[in-house]
Amino acid sequence: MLSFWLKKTWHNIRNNLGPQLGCLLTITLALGTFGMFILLGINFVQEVKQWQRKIPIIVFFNTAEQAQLAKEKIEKRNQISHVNYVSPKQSLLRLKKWLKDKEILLEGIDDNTLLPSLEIGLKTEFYNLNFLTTFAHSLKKMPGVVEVVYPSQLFLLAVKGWKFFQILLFLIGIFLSIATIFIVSNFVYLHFQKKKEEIAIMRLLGATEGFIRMPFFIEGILQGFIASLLSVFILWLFAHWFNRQIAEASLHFKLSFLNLKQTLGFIVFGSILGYLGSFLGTKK
Amino acid sequence: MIQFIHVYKAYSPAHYVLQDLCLQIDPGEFVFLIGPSGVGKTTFFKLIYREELPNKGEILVAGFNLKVLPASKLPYLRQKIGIVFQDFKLLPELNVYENIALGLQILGYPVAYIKQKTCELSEKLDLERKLNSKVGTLSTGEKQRVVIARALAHQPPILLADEPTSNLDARRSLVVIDLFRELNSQGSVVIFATHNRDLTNLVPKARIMELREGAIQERK
Ligand SMILES: Nc1ncnc2c1ncn2[C@@H]1O[C@H](COP(=O)(O)OP(=O)(O)O)[C@@H](O)[C@H]1O
Ligand SMILES: [Mg+2]
Repeated sequence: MLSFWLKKTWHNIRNNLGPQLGCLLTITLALGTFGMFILLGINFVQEVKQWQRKIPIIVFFNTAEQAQLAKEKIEKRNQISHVNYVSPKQSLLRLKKWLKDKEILLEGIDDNTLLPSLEIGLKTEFYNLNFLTTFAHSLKKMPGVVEVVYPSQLFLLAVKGWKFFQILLFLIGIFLSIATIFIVSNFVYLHFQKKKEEIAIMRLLGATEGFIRMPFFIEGILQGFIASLLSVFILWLFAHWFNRQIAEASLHFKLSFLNLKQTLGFIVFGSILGYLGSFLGTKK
Repeated sequence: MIQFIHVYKAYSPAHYVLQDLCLQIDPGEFVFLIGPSGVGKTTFFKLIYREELPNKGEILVAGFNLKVLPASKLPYLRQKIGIVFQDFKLLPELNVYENIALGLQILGYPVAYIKQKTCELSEKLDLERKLNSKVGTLSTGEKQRVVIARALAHQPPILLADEPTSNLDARRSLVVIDLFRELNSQGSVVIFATHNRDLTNLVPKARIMELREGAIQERK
C-alpha cells in the first residue's frame, strides 16, 4: 500500500508541477522569514549573555585597606569568578582613556577625589536579577562600602527586550504558521478538486477516506519538508555571507547559525505544518 | 446476500424507474438481469452499491442495511462488491496494470499477491501485452476487459456486471462468462445485466430476472 501511495504522490506531483512549485516557493518564503526571526532571536540571546559577562559589579570603598580586606572575603564565595582591585590611579587612567577628547570634563579630578574600588565578576550561572540584587545588598553592608554599582538596569532592559522579542517571535511564528497552513491547504484543496473524478472512482471501488487522502498528506508533508529544508539552506547562505562580508569588515559581531537540534526541529516543524495544511485541504 | 424490500426509486417525481421491488438473492446464485436499455438495470446496481438511495423501502446487502449505513462504513460495503461499470470508470492517468491492481491495492494485499493475480487475469483476458499502456490508448473492447479484470481481481462475494460483454466478440464473451462462472462456483453472487437474452443460454443453472416497467419477473 505504501508503494502505491508513494507512486500516486509521484504522479500527482509530476502532473501538477507548476502549482506545486508555486506553493513550495510561497511557503519557503514564509518559513524562511520565520527562520530569520529565530536566527536573530538566538543571536540576540547569545549576545546579551556575553555582554552580561563583560559587565562587572563595581564596589567603591572609602579606603584601600577596606577594599583589600573585602576582596579577601568576597573571593571566598563560590559564586565569584574573579575580583580585581582597582586603585584610584587606575580609575583615573581609565577615565582619561574613555574621555579622550573631552579631558575638560576631568578638570579638578585627580586620584585623591576618586575612590578605590573592586571589580567583581560572577560565574555565568549566577547572572540573574535575583542573585544580583541580593548580592549587591550584602555587599552594601560590608564595612567601608560607599556605593555598589551593578548591571541591574541593563540586565532588566535585556530581559525585557528578550521578553518582548519572544512575544514578537511567537506572534510572527503563529502568523507565518497559519499562513503556511493556509497556503498548503488551499493548494491541496485545489489539487483535490482537480482529481474529483478519480477520487469518485476510488470511492466506488471501496477506498476509505484515509486511503484516498494519504497521497495528499504525503504531498503536504513533502511540501513542508522541502520548503523548510530550502529555507534553512537559504538562511545558512545568508549567515555565511553576512559573516564574510559584513561582520569582518565592520562589526565585531558574528552571526551564529542554528545548531543541529534547532535545524532538525525547524524542519520537523515545517513538515508538520505541511501535514496540517493537507489535512485541512482534503476535508470536505 | 441481497434483499430488496418494497423498494421504490424515481429520479424525477412521479416517474418511478423501480416500483415496489421485492427480491432476495442468496449466496452462490448466478443471476441474469435482462431488459432493454433504459429499463433500470444500472439503477438497480447503483442501489446495491449505494450510489443511489431508494425513495422508499429497504435494501440489505452483505449484512449491511443500506438505509442506516453511515458514510464511514460505506467503503466496507463496496469492498465486498466487484463492479463492471457500463461506463468503465477507469483511471486514465494509470496504466492497465495499475488499473487492474487498484482494487487489490485498496484492500491492502501484499505486492507479490497483487502482481500474481493481476498477471493471471490479464493473461486470461488477453491483456498481457497491454499492461504498460495508459488506458486512454486502448480500444473500447480492451477497456471493457480491463474493467472486468479489476472487478474480478479481489474475488468479491458479490459481482455486479453491467453489460460486460457489450463490446466483446463472441469468443471473448465466452471467456468472460467462464471467468464469472468460476467466481460463482466459489460461492460469490454474480448478477449479469444485459439486454441480450441469448446470453442466458450460456449458464444453464442461472436464475433469470426480467426487468419491465419497474417490476421484476422471474423467468425459467
Ligand atoms: N442520474 C439520473 N438522473 C435522471 N434520470 C436517470 C438517471 N439515471 C438514469 N435515469 C433514467 O432512469 C431510467 C433507467 O436508467 P438506467 O438505470 O440507466 O437503465 P438501463 O441501465 O437499464 O439502461 C432511464 O429512463 C434513465 O433516463
Ligand atoms: Mg445501463
